[in-house]
Amino acid sequence: MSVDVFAPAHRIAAQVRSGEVGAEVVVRAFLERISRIDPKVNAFTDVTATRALAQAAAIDRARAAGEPLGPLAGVPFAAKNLFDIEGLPTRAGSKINRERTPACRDAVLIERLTAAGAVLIGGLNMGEYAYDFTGENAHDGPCRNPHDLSRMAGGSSSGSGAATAAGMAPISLGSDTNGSIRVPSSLCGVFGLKPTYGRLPRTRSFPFCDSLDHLGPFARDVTDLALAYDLLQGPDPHDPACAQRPVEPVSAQLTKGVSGLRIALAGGYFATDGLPEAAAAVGAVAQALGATRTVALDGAQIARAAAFLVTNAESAALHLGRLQLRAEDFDPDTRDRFLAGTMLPAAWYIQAQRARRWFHDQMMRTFEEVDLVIAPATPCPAPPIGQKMLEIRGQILPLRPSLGLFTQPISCIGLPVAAVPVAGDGLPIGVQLIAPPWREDIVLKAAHVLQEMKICTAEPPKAI
Amino acid sequence: MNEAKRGFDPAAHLDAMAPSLGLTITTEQRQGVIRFLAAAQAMAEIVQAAPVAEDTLELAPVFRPGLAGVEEEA
Repeated sequence: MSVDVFAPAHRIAAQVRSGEVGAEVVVRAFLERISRIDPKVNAFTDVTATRALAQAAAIDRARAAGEPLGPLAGVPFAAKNLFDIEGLPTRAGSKINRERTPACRDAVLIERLTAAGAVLIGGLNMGEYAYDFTGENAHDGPCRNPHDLSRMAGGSSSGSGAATAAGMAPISLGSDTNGSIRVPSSLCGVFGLKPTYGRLPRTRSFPFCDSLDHLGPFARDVTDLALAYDLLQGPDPHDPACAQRPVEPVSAQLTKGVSGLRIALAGGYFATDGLPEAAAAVGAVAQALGATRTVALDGAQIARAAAFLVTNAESAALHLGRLQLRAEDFDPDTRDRFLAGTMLPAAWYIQAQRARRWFHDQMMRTFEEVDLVIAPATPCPAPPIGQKMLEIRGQILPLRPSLGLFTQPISCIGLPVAAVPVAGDGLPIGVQLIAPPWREDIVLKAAHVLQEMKICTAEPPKAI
Repeated sequence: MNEAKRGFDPAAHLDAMAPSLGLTITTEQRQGVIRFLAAAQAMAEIVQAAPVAEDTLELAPVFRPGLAGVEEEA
């Protein structure tokens, strides 16, 4: 039988488990699609075909032997190239890291999906060292938006958003420090989950900014997103920021709906006046979920500034040695920001960490009155590749930092967020569903409602 | 902070800091670094406005969402 590359992952796994289709057939279909489509999109930097085919064959042998198969049996997935992949140098979007010793073991989240039967098919393009919202990369070339190849995929998890949107990987893994899962989810029109800070261990992934780094999944289907999230959960002793919580599965409650939840629209800093596509998407989601009030979220601008400074200072400190020895080998679009970050006065950084704590406490008060907050994910759909400035509410602003305007204050305090795609008339655009810490169940249940109502869908791209 | 803003000269700051950090800033890099230092200074001014209590310094080196002092203040 032919393989539908846009079928949900859980359906592919069910077909593999039942024997309707072999894992090797599935994997070969996706490898063929990657070889045909990816030269246009540029989502993959490595395709791990040999490993993938060997694992798929092992799954087929296991089934033939009557052994039980995992919940993602035979489902291809791919990971942003800051995740360690055994046998590959972890490049993290850079030129410099290609000289690293190849990883001797997969990142823990790759191991967890693999243990569930999912098949790693490659490493994905990303902005250099994750300091990016565009998906552009001087070393590997820009990752292109599958809905319009002349436009940005969004970053920094550009390949994750694009590969999943383009039917090249039903599930992908990315990281989000200031919006790097939510921005490409929005621009590529897929679902993305940034869990609570500390929920998923970052063990054996290349860091960007320890105070703010999160990892999470992308999918084209909410059931897949929740399933992947459930399989990724669990403590790991090697990430000091991991909260070491037990697995709190969401999949079984996914269809329980949102009745009884107090749902609010974010106003103030998050208002969408003058942002027509974002306004339409947020309005559609708010109406569908029955949002009854608006909350101002005072202090979001301060949180955004705090995230900017914490990111700049921590990431620059991480890269100081490389900046001293070989700054010319950095992508020019990240280099000068890293260099500036090495020089920030300590008082700025410390005040940013104080402001972070303050905004967190503000938001916890808000969550005494509401259970779910709706906010735009990006101010606009995907801009053209190469665009440098962005008009937001009549102001001309630098595009690179501005794409994360609405995501940055939220990751600053580690709240769980589902980015949900609204297809729109032309390009998709995402909306953030934001819940209190550790309540990923709320954002995923709301995302499921929106998918059932067909308000939020990951539409197959027409451009490829 | 307004006084600090008036006192912050990103070019002078770069010239003072780069050698002590072992960094050589090329002509090509200089304008970009100055621009990003100015951007960071603008962000520092914004975070300075956070109404944090003057006699506290809560930094949360390992940040754990959900463990705020909200209950104590309520």
